[in-house]
Amino acid sequence: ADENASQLVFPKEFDTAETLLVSEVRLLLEHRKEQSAADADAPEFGPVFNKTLDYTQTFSKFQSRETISAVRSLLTHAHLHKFELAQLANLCPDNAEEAKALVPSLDSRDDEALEQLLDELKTHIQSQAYQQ
Amino acid sequence: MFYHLPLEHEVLLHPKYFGPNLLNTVKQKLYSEVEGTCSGTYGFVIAVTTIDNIGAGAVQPGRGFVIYPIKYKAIVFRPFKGEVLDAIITQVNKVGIFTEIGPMSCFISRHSIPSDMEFDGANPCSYKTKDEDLVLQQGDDLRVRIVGTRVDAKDIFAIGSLMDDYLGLVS
Repeated sequence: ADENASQLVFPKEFDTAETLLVSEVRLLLEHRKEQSAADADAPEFGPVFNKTLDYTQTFSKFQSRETISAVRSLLTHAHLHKFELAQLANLCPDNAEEAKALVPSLDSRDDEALEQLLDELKTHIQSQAYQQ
Repeated sequence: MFYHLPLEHEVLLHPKYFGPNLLNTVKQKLYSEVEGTCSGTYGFVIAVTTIDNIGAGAVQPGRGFVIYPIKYKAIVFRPFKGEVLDAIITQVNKVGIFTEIGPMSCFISRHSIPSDMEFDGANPCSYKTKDEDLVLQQGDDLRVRIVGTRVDAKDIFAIGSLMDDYLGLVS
């Protein structure tokens, strides 16, 4: 159809849906897997579930519920489109130039404000090294 | 992009399940009937998160089966044109690079790989720059921009490109 993520044009079915961070999907799928392991009757998971779980474990940037919550809060205050919010958390660009290249809809945003946001995002990632 | 989407589904229940475990059977059938499926509209349904409402069962005239309309929420994966995603290389050959992004396959044609990268057929196959500074081979993580999607019966297949800045090998 006429969808284009670069211009934030999405099908109407996704208007009211929330975007999920890769890290959030990982937590949800791991939780579901634990629940299923406890139930003897539960059938095995198919390839879609397993491939997605592997993928989210590989690319998850944030480990704990607390960090994910803090990241969501940080990005929500920046008044981004929900698609942009998830993209920044998933891709963690290093600077404003990279952020605008990867998420073109951010093009009109002020570089300084964007850099500040990205720096705070990086702090959350780095602080994880001290959490375990 | 992963979404948390409200969806609807109808479960058809055979009378043999009418008993104290009926609702549980309806839930199990919901899971097995929608999880792992894929549609052009919503993308891949990864997992049901909550069952919001199981409607009153309607007996089918002349059949005995009962239809339960269910409202639920699920994690879905739906790629969009223009979106940048992380992918894992599964195969490299002279027509391009095959990758996987979660449940979905994404193909990057040779023509969508920067021209300073050349195909090297030596085992393992790879695309590399002349000075071998950058090497793309099986198992590597790549940042790809989706330039097109193809919906095929029950599958979505994506076409990707590495041509823009900051795409390619993830450091």
